[in-house]
Amino acid sequence: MATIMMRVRQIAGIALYLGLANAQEASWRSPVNVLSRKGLVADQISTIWWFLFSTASLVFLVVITLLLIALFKKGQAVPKGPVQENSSVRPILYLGTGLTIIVLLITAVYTFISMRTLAAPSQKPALTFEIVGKQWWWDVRYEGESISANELHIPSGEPVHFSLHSDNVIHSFWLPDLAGKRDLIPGHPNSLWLQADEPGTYRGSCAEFCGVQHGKMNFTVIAEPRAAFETWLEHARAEANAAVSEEARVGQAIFMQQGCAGCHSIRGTAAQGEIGPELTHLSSRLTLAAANIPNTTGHLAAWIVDSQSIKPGNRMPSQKLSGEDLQFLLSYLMELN
Amino acid sequence: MSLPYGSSNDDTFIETWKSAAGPFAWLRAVNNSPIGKRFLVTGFAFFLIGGIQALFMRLQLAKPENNLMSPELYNQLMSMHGSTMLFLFVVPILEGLATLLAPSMLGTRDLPFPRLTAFAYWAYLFGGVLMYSSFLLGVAPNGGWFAYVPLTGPEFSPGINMDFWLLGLELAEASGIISAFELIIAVLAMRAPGMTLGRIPVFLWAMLVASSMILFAFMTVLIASLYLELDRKLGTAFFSPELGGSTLLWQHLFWFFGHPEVYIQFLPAAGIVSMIIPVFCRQPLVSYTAVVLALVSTGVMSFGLWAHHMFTTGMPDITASFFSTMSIVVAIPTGLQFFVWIATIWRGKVIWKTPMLFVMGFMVNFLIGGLTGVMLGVAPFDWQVHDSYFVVAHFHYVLIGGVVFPLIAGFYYWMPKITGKLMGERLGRWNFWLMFVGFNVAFFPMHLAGFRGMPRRVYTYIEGIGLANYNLISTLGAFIFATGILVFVLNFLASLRQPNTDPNPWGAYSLEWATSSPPPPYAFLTLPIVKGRYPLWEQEQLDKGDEETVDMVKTLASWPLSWQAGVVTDVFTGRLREVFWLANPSYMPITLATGLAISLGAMIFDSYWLSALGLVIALIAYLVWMNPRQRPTENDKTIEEKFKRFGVAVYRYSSPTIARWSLFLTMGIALTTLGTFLFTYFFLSTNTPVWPPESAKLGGWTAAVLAQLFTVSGLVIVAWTQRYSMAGGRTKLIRHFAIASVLDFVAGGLQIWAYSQLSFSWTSHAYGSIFYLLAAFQLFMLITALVMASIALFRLNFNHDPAEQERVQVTVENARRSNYVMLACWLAIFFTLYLSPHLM
Amino acid sequence: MFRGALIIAGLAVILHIGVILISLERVKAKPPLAMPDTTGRVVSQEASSLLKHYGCGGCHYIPGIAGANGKVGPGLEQFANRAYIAGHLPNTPENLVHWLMNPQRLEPGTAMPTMNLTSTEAKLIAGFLYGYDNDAR
Repeated sequence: MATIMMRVRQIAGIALYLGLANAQEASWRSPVNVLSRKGLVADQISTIWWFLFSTASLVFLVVITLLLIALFKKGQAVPKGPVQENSSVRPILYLGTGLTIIVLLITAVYTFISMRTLAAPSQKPALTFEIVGKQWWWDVRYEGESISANELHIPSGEPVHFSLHSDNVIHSFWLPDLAGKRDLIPGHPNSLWLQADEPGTYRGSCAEFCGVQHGKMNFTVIAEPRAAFETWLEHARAEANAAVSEEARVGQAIFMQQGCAGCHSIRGTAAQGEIGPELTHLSSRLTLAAANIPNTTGHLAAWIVDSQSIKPGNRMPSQKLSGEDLQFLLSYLMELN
Repeated sequence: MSLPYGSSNDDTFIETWKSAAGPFAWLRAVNNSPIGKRFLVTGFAFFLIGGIQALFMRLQLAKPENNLMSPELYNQLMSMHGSTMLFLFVVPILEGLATLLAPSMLGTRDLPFPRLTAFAYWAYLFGGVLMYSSFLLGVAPNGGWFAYVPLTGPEFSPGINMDFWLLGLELAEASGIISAFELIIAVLAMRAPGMTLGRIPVFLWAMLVASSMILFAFMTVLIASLYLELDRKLGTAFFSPELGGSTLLWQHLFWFFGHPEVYIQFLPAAGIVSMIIPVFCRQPLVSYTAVVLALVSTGVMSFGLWAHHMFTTGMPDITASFFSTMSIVVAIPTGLQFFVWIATIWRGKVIWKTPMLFVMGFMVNFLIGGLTGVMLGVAPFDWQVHDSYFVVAHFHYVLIGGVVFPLIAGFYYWMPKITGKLMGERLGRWNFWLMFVGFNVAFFPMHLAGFRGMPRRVYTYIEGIGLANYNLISTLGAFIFATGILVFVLNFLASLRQPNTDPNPWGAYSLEWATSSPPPPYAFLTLPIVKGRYPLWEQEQLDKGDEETVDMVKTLASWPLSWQAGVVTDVFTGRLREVFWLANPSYMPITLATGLAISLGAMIFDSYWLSALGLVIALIAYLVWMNPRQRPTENDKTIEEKFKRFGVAVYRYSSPTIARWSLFLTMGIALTTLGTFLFTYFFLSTNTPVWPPESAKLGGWTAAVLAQLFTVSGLVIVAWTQRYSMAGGRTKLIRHFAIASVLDFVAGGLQIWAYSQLSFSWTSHAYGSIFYLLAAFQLFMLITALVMASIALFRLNFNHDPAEQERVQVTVENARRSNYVMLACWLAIFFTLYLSPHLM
Repeated sequence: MFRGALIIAGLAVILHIGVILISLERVKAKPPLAMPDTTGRVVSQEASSLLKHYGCGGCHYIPGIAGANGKVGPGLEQFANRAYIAGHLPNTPENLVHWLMNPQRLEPGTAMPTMNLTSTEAKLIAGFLYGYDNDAR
């Protein structure tokens, strides 16, 4: 019963529920909001929304008021005999339709104007990232090379350009806090620009149904000041650290023998697989499994040995490893920072 | 008068119109009333199944990271929920309602093709069963109701899941087209005497518009699913980008169907509202003309806004602006209808009965859905909320608020004409409030979940991102809504125990309320004579009018008794023109549908022999169907003479007017098909840098040009026959058609030879795929024209029965016309395949 | 007639809501009280976010933690009733805390990785796991 009461309280609190981040959780897990005005594009779209919302509310109120008056005012039944369409209420018709046309035309014109301003950023983006949609993760590329997966950093306060591709099915790249979405379509390259006004961590997801794990295809974008971003980019483009500890060296050998390298690449090593996400700086990332679980040893271990329970149907087979080998492998992967 | 208006007490007449007798009678029943009821029951059953799927999905989504079902199962339920509701519930149930009610609303006896009605039902049922049989194997369709390629293509969906979907869909959509076909002809050509175009009940205007849209829209989706099935089964490359295909082609074709589809569902619902409001306000619609114009213009405009489903695919801003504007402007006629309804209520005195409650629920919910619809038409806003739960909320407001509420209103309103009973008012109120509250509790929070970044079609969402509460509330609402539906079912079952009600319990105005509740199978013994838009309000008696018409309807009430007679009226004036034979009960509709279902079902499992067997069954059924053994014998020279004097022809076989309409619509379908193929060709050509690809060498020029010359000269010879009358020029007619057929035959041979010279296949490049499809269509049209000409030749040669000369005449006309259309296809295809590459 | 139908409908409402609540209970059992009374709720919340952070649920089934449906290791329901940890250590709070902090030391080569929990964190989690014993179920 207490549970039920708790839920009731929770539900009753929804009106006040602003979706603030749970302080204990990493911010990649925090709520997003289309209306949050955290990015230039999202900000303008949010203005469009408030225009649409106020217009629609007005229309709604007018129509419902008219309807209520019509329903509860005293009317009369048509007398027997030839039925004449009554012209005395025609003004409602003319007025209503006229207003509809005016409101809709204003909306249309407003749409043109807003599309024009959103077409391109005022300042040409200095940076282009290439995003390739995979089943069911995101390959992040820079100048033709995969530098990360499911996570990327961008400089805040300036527009960034994305070129969007897919070599499999259709996906859609959506960062609600920052901009509208754009599809990744095989054979139809697309592009998108956005700008994060403030540094922060932003959650995004795939918005086009792309198969069994469409539901768990998220990503994280971290906006940070230009200097920090450049450090990140340089690091991301660098080759992997050599394994330091004894355990890690054994782990690396297991990585190469176990077949991991068949799908994953680690730049600077023999691992050059192109099927799964690249892992060069794996342990510097916030999340695993396309921004679905935090990147901690426990999650990583579980993901390696039983990825199919965490994300049923995903392309990574659950690995058969001895407990010991698993520890070595973990040591290696945790050193890839 | 002891009998209600329109009922008969003549045993022969009742026997003639009774559904077939015998233990298996239901298998061969034809006619609109039994079949219409089956449509309603089956459609509602699919609605319940789709609803239960939705409840399971809501349970899965009630909690973040819930583990109630696997993602695979969720995706199957999600796909089948959408497919069921859109393909197996709304359109069939609306067409079923119209099938059942149209004849009595029009004051006539049946739809033009009673056996086709039955076939449409069986095709629909088998299509649905085929789709659902996948659940038995655990391989239900899982690519979404929109089945975007390449996810549903051979590479990413190698299983048979999508084959069930595609082939089941083809059968169900074919049924939709056939029903639409019949309803168009019924509304245009089979009405009560005196029912002019301007007196057709608004619901049937809406059905007329929606049915016309179905002919175009459903053809495109049929063709799109044909492409996909060919890609999957024969390895064509329509949707393979690496082979010159396009993934966006599917989206264009699908939404060219999919957006009109929404209006195909909404317009009849709006029609229901326009029927109900006047009754419960006791006022005529403030402007009938405005409503009809709104329906027609919405129907036309709805074909120009499909790409607003594709704003995020990255289209040029100018294109997006066009589709934005169209999507916004299409709201104008709907706004107009809204104000007509309000003004009507303003004038009138509201009677609060359940149908009216549901109509009011419709007005509130649909208003919200319409407003969010305009918002979604604004491309930049759509970039944010597209494919999010905001859209899920929007279209449920439109489809449940805008279609299901009016539909339930319609059930309450017309139940006396379906079962003969009135449904309970008290449970009706419960039903309404549970549905209204449950609906809003379930779907309103989805707008907010969309704003919070929840994408559509996800089987779960992670914890801590602020989506849990919205989803929990939605789930609660869904169950309240479901309870409302349950109350509806209970109310319906309870009503069955009531005695039959009066003919007109609501005090309504349209003709179906003149006949008894439920109406007899023939609806009217004495056809009503219509003098206004609101006949039951305006006319004391329905069988009074000018002498001629009274004489005719009185005569028709006593003759013929032993065969089902339908009447054809003038499209504009509603004057009686023809009396014709409808049909007898037959096993052929179900046999034909079974044959097709076997054929399509076997294809899923690559069992092509069985598939061919199915086609053979279908073909035999079709031939038997076309040549019924029992023709009406009862004739009466004096009566036929009398009708002739009034300008009304009596046919103891099918009606020539209806045959002409059928050919006209069939050729419309053929041209839509051609248009879709050509669109595909040119769309793909602009999508590929080199078109045709280097590897594809065109050959057989001489033969192809010769083939065109042969068909053109064949056409000239056929066109010449227009000069000959049946009476004098019979031999010339025969000679011309024979020569033309030979020429066409040679042309076909030459063309086949030309195609056999080609070096490329249909698998190597999308160019080859569409090339061979166009070629196949070209030959198919030739065969159609040849078959039509052969039938004409056969009848010209052997049918000299003076009573049937009109029929022979129509066969000749139809052969001529189908030859014109065939030639148009030939030249268009020749131009496209051989000449257009040199012009681009 | 109508009244009968009405009663059935009423029952249906109750049934529906029951179904929802049961389906919720199944997944999210009672938040357990790891420590008695005053601080109980805070502790269990903190512990559950630790469990989520470290990823225990990836390998173990843990009632009350969203997404904790792992099948790699043993399920952790009613953990207090368990006799042994890792097959041979007696299930005492001390052992559990040690095990959580460094499983590799207690049993080298076990699949459970050492995740560098602090002893406070390990105690919170242990408290959470034992809390299930208080559960009425």
